Amino acid sequence: MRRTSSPPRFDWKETARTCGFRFHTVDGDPYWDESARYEFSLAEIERDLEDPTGELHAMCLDLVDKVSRSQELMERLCIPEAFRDLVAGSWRKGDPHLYGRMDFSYDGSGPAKLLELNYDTPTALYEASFFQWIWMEQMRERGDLPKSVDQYNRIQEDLLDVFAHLKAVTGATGSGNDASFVFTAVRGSEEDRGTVQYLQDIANQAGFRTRYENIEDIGIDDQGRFTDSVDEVIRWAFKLYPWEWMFAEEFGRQILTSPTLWLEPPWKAILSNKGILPLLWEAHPGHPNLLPAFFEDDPSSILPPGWVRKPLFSREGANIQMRTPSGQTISVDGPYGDSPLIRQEYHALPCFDGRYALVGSWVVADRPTGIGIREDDTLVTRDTSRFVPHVIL
Amino acid sequence: MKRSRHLKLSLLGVAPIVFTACSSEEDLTYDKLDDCIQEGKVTAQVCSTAYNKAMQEHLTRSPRFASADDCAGQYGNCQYVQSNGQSFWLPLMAGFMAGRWSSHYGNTGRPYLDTYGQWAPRPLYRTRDDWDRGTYSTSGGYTYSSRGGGSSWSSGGDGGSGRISTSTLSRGGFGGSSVARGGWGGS
Repeated sequence: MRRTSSPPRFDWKETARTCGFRFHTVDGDPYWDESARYEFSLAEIERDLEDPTGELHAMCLDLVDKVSRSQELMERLCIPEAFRDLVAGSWRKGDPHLYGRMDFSYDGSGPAKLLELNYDTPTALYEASFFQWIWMEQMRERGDLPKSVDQYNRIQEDLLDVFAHLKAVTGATGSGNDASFVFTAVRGSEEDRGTVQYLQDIANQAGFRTRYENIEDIGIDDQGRFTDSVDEVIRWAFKLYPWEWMFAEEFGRQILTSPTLWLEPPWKAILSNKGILPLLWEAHPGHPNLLPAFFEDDPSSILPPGWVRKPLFSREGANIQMRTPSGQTISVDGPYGDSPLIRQEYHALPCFDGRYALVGSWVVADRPTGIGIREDDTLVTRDTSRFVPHVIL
Repeated sequence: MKRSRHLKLSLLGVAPIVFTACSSEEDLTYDKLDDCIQEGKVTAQVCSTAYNKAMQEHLTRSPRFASADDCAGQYGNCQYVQSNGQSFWLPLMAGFMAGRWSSHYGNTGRPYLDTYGQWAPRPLYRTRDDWDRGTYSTSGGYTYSSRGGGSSWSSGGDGGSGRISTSTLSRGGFGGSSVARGGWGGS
């Protein structure tokens, strides 16, 4: 694995525009950065990232099963009592799920270390699965990369697989009489909107009628069923919105009785929770891809050197407290200060040319399927970290 | 090749890059080892490796019940087992997963056996619901149809796929947490 400078395509902004990639620049700073690329060997991809992702995913599903049968573990993960049957039932019924992203610290040597799981509302999807792929294809075609170059990226193909499967099992016909598969995200976030529109596109290709709604515009009818903005009952909904928020909001209780089937399904509440990290460590102590992790029983204590504190519920690096082995403290503010904490052993992100790189390893259709790399100038990867494409040489 | 061969987007206004070849896929679930070998989709070696793995997992990690009634209530057919000074009831292993088979894979055009995650070799059971529906379940709660894959979505909701018009009483019951936390949902 190495980072190397790479000539940006002269027309990449134009390509981004025609491909619907509108959030390549965030607040004036580049988010998509093709002035560099990461190069892997096939062995690094298969042995160090793909295989461990498959294994960790299976371990996670085992834990979901265990948690779904235990009030005590549900309590530890702060899943509200009123929703525990929903979560457990959704797992027992085998509610299908779409995807997940594991974040690894990996530098090309030694085992990749799992830092986090993002299994409910993972983003940086479109740029990994589609725009990264287009970049590589164009670079090959133009002779800027050797013909033999490859990329670990079957993400979109596997996404299409899941929606095709869903179409088959739901009996959707794609005709005008079908209900719409409703895709929702919060109003006003261009990045979230882009990610959801991308998935909507894939569902469309699979043959679903689809429709976008802001999650704020979802309604409820007199039978407790969720409705879209044209007053149709929502049968199937994709949400880029965390379960723990939905549980807590005004319509939360309606989830229990409404017939809407959700992507991701309610059992993802178990895996979107940082509490899964100490549970994984407890079930597989010493596993080469895991870092020691524990529930933080005394959040007011002073964090010893070599540890990181994370809230059970937090996103995009917010509310992380880090103490490096040399005693340096790094804190990131954020809106998640009200959540219980876990403690995870500090593991520095590898530094390439002064940038800290995080490997996001995707699981789709229960298979390891591809990666996307994000870089930050600091040790904490945040929503402003840059996406840098990769190749296999 | 580790990447997709062809991608397209329609809504986003991207023309198909290349036309996609079609492939068929199925979950290889079998009642018995012989069924797997007889069918010949995968080699006898693959069949017996998968079967042995499933059997081993069945013996070590299958659902366990303290009473015959509890076991029978959920699975119907159960067996009594004594091991390491403990005794308990186990459901009978009703079948095993050998993997997922694709007729074409990537641009190789060759059949491909996927044995990751949901398709890893493992024992399959039949709950009472499974007997009614002709499906299998894993101890982890996945449901597979006896052939071809299944999911709760097929019987979920109120069934059917048609549109239903109604009147909306109120809106705005979702989205508040995002505003409170600065407006984003993804991670």
